[in-house]
Amino acid sequence: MLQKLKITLSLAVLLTGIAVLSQASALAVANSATDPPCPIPAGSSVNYLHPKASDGKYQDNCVEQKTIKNCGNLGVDPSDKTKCQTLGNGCAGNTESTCLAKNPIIRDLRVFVNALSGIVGVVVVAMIMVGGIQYSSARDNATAVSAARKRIANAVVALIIYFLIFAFLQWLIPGGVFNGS
Amino acid sequence: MDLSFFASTLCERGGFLSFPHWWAYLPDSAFDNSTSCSVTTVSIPGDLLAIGLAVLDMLIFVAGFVAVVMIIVAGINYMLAIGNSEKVTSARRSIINSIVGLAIVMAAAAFVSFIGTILRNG
Repeated sequence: MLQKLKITLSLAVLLTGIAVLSQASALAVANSATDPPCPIPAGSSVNYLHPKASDGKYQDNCVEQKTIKNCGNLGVDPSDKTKCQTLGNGCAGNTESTCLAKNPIIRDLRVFVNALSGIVGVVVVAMIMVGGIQYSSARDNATAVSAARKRIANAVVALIIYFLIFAFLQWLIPGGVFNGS
Repeated sequence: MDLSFFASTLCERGGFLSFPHWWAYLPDSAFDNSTSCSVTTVSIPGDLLAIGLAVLDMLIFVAGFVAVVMIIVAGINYMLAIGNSEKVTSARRSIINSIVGLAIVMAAAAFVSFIGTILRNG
């Protein structure tokens, strides 16, 4: 039973890894624009936005509110308009090629991992409970006790291995899967 | 706290040996109305967790029964040992083992409810 669980878990890791690797290579890396010194030099090909101060004027003699042009298909970050949107889960109103959260593979991966979490949690706890029942019914038989102990230890090891999936996916996917909502 | 989750307790709980039913923790939407107990819609994998929790609940009952029976058997063995120190040690060890097994099951159940509380609040 536990052997099967472990094999299933490692298969799941392998499959998601392959699916994500093929997707990650297709995703573009954000080119971030840095703020030039203010006022903006004439003839600048890029227009920068500077946030309004509390008195309603633009800071540092920057006269015009303009958006960054060189963000490509990533777009401007809605929370900080001086920056291009970063590749990640916090993006809103973008296409699936620029927003990880809207990527169908990532979305399905989340659903899959969430469902898998519930199943694995229940199965691991059930295994620990079965080990406990085995322990109770072992009487004074030392081999039966050690079998029960081994079952419990295996269940805990399987749980720890499953937790490593989260770290692995977070490391594998640029921008991360499990940050943000 | 969403109390509608526990609305299924309106149904008659406890069947054979007061085991919980597999549908004990299904949400209200699984039943055709809140007063009857006929389960009409079970969504997979959404309700898998609730069914799994019911299975864990059953396992707690099984563990309790096993531990009690084992302690009774070991106690009878203890009484029948009549000064035979080997039999006394064996009976004592089996009592200790059954208590340890019950403690493991209870700790697992407590761990689950602990994690569940964290997940629900955080």
